[in-house]
Amino acid sequence: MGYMPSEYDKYFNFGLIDYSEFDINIEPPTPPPIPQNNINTNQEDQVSMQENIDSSQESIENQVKDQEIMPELNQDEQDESLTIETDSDMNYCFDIVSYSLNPECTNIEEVVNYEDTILEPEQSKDTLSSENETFEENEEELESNFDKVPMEIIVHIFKFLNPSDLKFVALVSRKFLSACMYKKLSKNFMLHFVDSYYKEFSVQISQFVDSLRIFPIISLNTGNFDIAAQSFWLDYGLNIEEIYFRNGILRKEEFENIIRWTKNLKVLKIESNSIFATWHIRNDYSERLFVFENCYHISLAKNAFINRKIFDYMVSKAPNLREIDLSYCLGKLNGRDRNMLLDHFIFYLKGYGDTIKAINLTHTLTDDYFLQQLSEVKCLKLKSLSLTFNGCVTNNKFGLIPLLRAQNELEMLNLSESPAVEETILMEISTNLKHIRRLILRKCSHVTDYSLVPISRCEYLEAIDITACDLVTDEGIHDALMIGTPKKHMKELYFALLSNITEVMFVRLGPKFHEQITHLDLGGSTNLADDALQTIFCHFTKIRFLNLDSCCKISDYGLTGKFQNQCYFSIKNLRGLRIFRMQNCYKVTDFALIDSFEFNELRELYMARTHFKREGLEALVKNCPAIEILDLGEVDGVDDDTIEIVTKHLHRLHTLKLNGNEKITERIFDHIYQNCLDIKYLYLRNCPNINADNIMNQLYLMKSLRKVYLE
Amino acid sequence: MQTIKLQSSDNEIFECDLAVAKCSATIRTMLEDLGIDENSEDEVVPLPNVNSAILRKVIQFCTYHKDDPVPSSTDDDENKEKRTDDITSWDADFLKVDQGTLFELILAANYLDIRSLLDVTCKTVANMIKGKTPDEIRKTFNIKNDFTPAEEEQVRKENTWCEEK
Repeated sequence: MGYMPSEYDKYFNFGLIDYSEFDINIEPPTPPPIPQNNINTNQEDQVSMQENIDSSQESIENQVKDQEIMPELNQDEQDESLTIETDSDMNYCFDIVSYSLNPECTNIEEVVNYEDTILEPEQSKDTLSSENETFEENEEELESNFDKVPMEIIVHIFKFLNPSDLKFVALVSRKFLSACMYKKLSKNFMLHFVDSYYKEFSVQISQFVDSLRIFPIISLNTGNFDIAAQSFWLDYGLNIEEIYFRNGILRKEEFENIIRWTKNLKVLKIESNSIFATWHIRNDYSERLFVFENCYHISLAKNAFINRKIFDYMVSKAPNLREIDLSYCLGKLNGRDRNMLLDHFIFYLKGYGDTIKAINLTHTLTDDYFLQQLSEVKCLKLKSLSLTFNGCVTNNKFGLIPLLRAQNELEMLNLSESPAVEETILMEISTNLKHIRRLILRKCSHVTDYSLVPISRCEYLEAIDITACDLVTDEGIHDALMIGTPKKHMKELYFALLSNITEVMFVRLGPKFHEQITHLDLGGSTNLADDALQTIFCHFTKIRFLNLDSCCKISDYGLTGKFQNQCYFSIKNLRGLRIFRMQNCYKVTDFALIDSFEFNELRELYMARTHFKREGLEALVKNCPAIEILDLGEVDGVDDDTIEIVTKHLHRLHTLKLNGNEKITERIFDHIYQNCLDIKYLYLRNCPNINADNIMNQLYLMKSLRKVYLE
Repeated sequence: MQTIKLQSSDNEIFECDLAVAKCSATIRTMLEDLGIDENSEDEVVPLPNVNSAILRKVIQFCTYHKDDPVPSSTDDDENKEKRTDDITSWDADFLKVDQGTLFELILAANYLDIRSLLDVTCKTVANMIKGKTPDEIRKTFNIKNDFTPAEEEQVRKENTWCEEK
């Protein structure tokens, strides 16, 4: 424990925020001693020793909260929640003395103990005298507006921040860090360990045992997830809710050593080509230990080898499974083994199908016979289904069509890369799937305008993906989305690689979905020109994700809305933009960057193969400070000085792609080293002036660096 | 139109529409639970935690928003994406105030339990944080860095392993 958060709980006195989310527990009998520095920092207005003691009493109670996230605690005993005293009136200027005199206050013994702790000889006098000095200094400083704001409101403010903002607010002050301990704030974070081998990995991961924040999601990518870090799993395991193993080596014994400590696991993903090749399932009692009651999602995607025993072993770990992902699986199995496994899967579903709500079989070879069997599993009522359909549709009594008829509660259907999907199937979808919300038909190359017509009946549609359905034109999209029941929920449109769509479509779509759309993918739509963009920027101001890759016709006018002294709609209107792709948009110039690129939430920007110069890039990085991923491959103006400017302004940069830039030299590493404390991935392919042999020392200095892609 | 009298901490009395006052869940509860007679002429609701300047702003906000639809249940809200770029222009103008006032409004909205005001003020503060470095945030809000170098280093180290999911 580094320190205890101060001022944490005395403010629990109003109604807007749900305390139950804090899950406070009253368990720990012996709080660890207060570190010396805590005394100085509880509050600026500490005047006397008396108050020190009182505030440390708060610290004790804070400590009580703290235990919730202290991994050492046995969470089995954590069911009781602390009832919080609530004052109906908001007394912000909390009187510390009266608080401690309040007869209802508990922990008096602990206060006494604390007195002892604080007055330990080596701490007492020196600390006190220096404290008085700091107090006098502090009195002259202005107060922060945050001083009087209770913790719940800080948490409420933080709920509006993006995950990367949360990373940085944790570094502001102790109070902010305490707010970051709130569990739900960390749900979008994961601890991501890449290329971790043996010793290095256990050192990295062990530091989180002492962390004040909780990171419930752990992703282990490419490495040897070895038993060496066992003490970590033992201490931290109960905090872990999701764990992903990807592309690594994981022996069964190690897997079991890990999962025995992660009782609260909700999501388990083991996605690695041959991870199971060495696993031997004994099928005895010991296999059935360590069951995750809360686990609802298991993914075995991308595993070439899965046999019946492994499948049974994995699903037996999660008796309350709701989602199962077997996509990109079984590639290395011969036909007979694959069919046996699929038969076994059906057998499993017949037993447990009533709880299973989502199945993903994308790119896992299935046939009509399997789909037919799936449709005959009576208890199965799926909400989400993904599969690649390779069968034939001529027979509507066999295969996919009966399946769609049986699964009429589907909300998500993904039939990507199924060339056989055409009007009959879409007709079935619109007739049977009344609740369909997401319809993904990527690369279903036989989808035509005519076959999209029935989609107009899908009232609840939120997302439609017809990427690379190259036969579709403006008319088809018009018929599917504009006619019939109004689609009030529509949010995401993926229309990439449709060479036949034009701005006419957007003129129609714009007013229809005014301010509804958050994701718009138009990558590779080579026919789209500036007028389409103007419609988009006028109507779709809520866009978070925008892809304009290879929309080569767009120019400054489309992005800025400035044309012959007239000012129309600028991309600036998309104030919440987070991901923007504009690779190959070679007509766009610095003018657009200087005029219109001001986004304080923009996180990813891809602008490879464009003609921007230093001036434009300088304006860009000054006005978009939150960029974390930046692709500047083959951009004209990129040289050492530009990189210096870029790195100076983008303090959050973790991925920088500079492929194919001839002007940059090894000097860029000095700039990156000095300015980007968080840099993780560097792409430097085809950079003729960078020699791998010369840069090793510099790379070694960058502690945060994970991977460098060189020629 | 039925009106109600509200008394600020500095004893100024504001008379406003009952419908406006009822935007505040706190006042609503007071009227219901404490049995303050809505029809009585000289009944005054005391609000000891809100001064007159802030109360005036709050009433202005509630008057403008009194006909807004009531947002649906709060469970829904938890899963909903939190955006900060959807502040209406009226609200943005209304919140063009100094930082002290903005925070007073947050505290008042919290005390009076006015969800929409609390959200919009918190969003405004969130916008002041977004994209900034820790130093810039400290400067903006005049916050003192009270970490020891070792603690700061620990948080920084942890951050290097953290990624957005």
